[in-house]
Amino acid sequence: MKRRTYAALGVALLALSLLGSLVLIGAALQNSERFGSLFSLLLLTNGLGLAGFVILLVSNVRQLVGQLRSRQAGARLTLRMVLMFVALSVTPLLVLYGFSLDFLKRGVDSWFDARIDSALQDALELSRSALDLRMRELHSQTEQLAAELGRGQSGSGTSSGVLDLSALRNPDSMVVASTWDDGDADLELLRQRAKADELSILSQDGGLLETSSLGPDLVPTLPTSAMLLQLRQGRSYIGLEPPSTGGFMVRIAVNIPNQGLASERRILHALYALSPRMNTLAGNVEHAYARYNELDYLRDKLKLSFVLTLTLVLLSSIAVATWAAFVSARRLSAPISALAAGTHAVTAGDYTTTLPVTSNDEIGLLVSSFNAMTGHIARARAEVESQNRYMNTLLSELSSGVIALDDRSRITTLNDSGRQILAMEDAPLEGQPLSALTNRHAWLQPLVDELTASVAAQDGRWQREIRIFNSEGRRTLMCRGTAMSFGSDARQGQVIVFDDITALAKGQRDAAWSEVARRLAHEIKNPLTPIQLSAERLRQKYLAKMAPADAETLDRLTSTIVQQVETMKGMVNTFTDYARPPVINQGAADVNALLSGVIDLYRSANPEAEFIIDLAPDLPSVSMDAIRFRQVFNNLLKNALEAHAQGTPVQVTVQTRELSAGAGRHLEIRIADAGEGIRDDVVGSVFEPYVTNKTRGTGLGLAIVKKIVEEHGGMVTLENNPGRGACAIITLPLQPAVPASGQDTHRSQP
Amino acid sequence: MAMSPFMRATVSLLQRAAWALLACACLCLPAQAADIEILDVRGQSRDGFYFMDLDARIPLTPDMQDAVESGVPLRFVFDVQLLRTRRYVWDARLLVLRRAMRLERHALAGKYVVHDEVSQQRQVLASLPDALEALGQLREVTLAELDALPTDLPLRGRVRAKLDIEGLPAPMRPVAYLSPSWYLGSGWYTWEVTP
Repeated sequence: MKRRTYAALGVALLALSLLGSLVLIGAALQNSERFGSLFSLLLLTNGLGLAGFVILLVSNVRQLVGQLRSRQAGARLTLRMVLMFVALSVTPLLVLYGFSLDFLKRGVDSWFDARIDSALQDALELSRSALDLRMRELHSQTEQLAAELGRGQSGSGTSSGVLDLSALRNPDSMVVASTWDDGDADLELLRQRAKADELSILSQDGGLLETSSLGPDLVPTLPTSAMLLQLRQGRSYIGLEPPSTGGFMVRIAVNIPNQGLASERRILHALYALSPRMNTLAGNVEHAYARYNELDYLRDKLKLSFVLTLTLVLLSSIAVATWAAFVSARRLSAPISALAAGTHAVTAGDYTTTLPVTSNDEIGLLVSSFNAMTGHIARARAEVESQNRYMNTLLSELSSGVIALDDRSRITTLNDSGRQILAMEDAPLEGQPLSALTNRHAWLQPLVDELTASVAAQDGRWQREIRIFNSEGRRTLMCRGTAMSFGSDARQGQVIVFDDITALAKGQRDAAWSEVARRLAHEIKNPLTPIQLSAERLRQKYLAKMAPADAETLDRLTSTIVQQVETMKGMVNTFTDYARPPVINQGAADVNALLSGVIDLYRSANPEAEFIIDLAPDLPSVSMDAIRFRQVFNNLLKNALEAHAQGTPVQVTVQTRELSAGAGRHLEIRIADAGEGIRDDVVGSVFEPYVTNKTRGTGLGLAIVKKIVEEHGGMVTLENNPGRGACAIITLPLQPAVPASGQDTHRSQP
Repeated sequence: MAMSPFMRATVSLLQRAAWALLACACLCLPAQAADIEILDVRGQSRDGFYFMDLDARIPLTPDMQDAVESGVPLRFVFDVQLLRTRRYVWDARLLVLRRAMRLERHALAGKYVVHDEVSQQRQVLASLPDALEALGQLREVTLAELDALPTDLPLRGRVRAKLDIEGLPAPMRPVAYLSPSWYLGSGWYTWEVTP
């Protein structure tokens, strides 16, 4: 602030000095004697001052252009105000300048008038005539004196010597003392009688013979060479001497008439002063004429100088006015610029902006209101942030995943637990559509599809179990959605809370089926042994006693009972196996080798069957329980062989391949048959216990397959081939699989 | 806000014109500055002083003649310097003297007056050539006391003459500064000083 004040003071001083020097220039032009010697300096000073102002203005303009280019707040307002101020100040200045120029030219021209010119010329001529008359009189008088001197000289002979004062004209010559015999005539008396100021008698070549003067001057005035030449030619010299310190002098030089032939010609040189009155008048005429003549000559130059001065005044005024316009515009627009900058900062999220209140006017009030507003906003924002932090903390502490969607199904919130459940990194998703979840995580497509469909249905509250398959295997998510309104706004978003219930669902299902199996085994197995024992005792006791025909019947019936009991025992043992908590002994296994071993068994037992083997070479080892997986392959191959109707060609295709798309690397095992395929009514539940497509079977084979596969974190599906038969597809993660129920591996059998 | 091609071309043209004007001014001014010819300078020692006589030819341009005839006095200055010659550095100035002469016309008398501003002596001459001749003759200009001049070192004197534009009336000066016809001067004329 201080710096600005000093700068403004400096510029104001510069402007004042510029104005002062312009005034001095005007004075110098009007009267050269006062400031004439300073004229050029003043002109230079003004030019430099003006150049300084121009530099200042150029600097200001460049600064403003820079601000305009960078779209700085307030720059356009400053430009408009500067243009307005300059237009307001320059327009009258230009008008004034134009009129002043016209007045100036007319004013200067009005000084000169042909009549005055003529009058002065006439006055000069008149003066000359008067002086000529007087000079002629004096000439005549001097001629008489010369004649008188000539007569006196002729009687007394020649001069004996000359006082050579030509040294007064020529320093090289020598002054020689001499005398002049003027006979009866006394030069001093002659001078007094003629009322001359100085009277000298000179030799032909200008040597001083005798002199007499009125004043104390010892050195007489001598004629010039041109005058001597004129006298030598026999002509007298009559001249008016311009005044130096005194008045006008009339100088007359005449030849002294020579009476004797042998004598040398002499010169009488006289100086006469004009009368004081004539001196004054002639001086006035001369002065007026000279001044007028000089002014007439200087007329154009004077006009040019005045125009130059006026132009300097104009340019200085414009420069000062423009600079003042810049200063004023900046001062006026500064609070508005600050307000704009403050608003910009608020828009950018900086609510700590506080503007200085520099005035008590309306702009000051506006600035105060702005400060109050930013204060309120900052406090409100702090509260919102605090609430957000609270909500975020709450959300992050939740074990459930939370996705909040706005009315256009864009993600507004996804908490940490949600990211963990969905196995997503911390890439920001806020503001992106729900489909953005699949950009880098393709396995989330089922989830996104289901959520999109549920959100689009706008059911208000909904709940859905969604299965996804990622690198960790199959996951089951329980999703619950609730419509969420934004205050009074009609728009509605959604809050979706989801939990990974894979382990829970599996545990519940396993527990339920285990309980069923355990109870069945218990209820069925208990009476089987007495039935079997009873049948065996019947056979043992009565077989030998009975007639051969009856004995055969008894033998067949008891054998059937015993056989069926054995079958039922096997069935009960199978139930027991299913109900038994899994004990997985994982180790690196070569799936291709395991499959080949099982296929070889079935190939030898079913020579009529055609096995098409397509195993991917270089499959990595998989962490699995090989014994349990052999059971899986057994069950699936058995099912595939049994799926063929009697009399139809048996064809089983076994494929393995590595998949690396989507959710990491996976191993896919496909076992397909060419049988009848699966009925549509059981397609969705073939892996449930007691669901079977066959006339014979316990309905537990595929349930056990599914159980074992899921215990290894894999997924198994069964689908009909496009042509004929069905295909079982097992997908296993290739990295060491963590069993879905984690603790199963080490849990001991109860 | 970028400058338009027309504006750029205009600014470029103005810049070139300004440089051309400056170059012309630089070339023209010295070309007119050596019209006074100093014909001879004679130094002489007498009565314990060192004097100088100078003869110069001073022509007037038509503008100057016009000014004189119109009653404008012209002031000529003679800058005289006595220098002690030094070998490796610039010469030392022992004396710097300025002698000013004024030429004016007296309308009533119809004469030209040459006025020596130092000695206050004046010469009244009937014609302008006589006046210019008188103007170009400086006689017995006392430069220094002989005792004050070193005798064991080489000395030289130099003199130049020029029309003093600052001696013109104020309204004429801007025009005179800007017009080559008002630049009248000589280069330095050098002579050996033998006290």
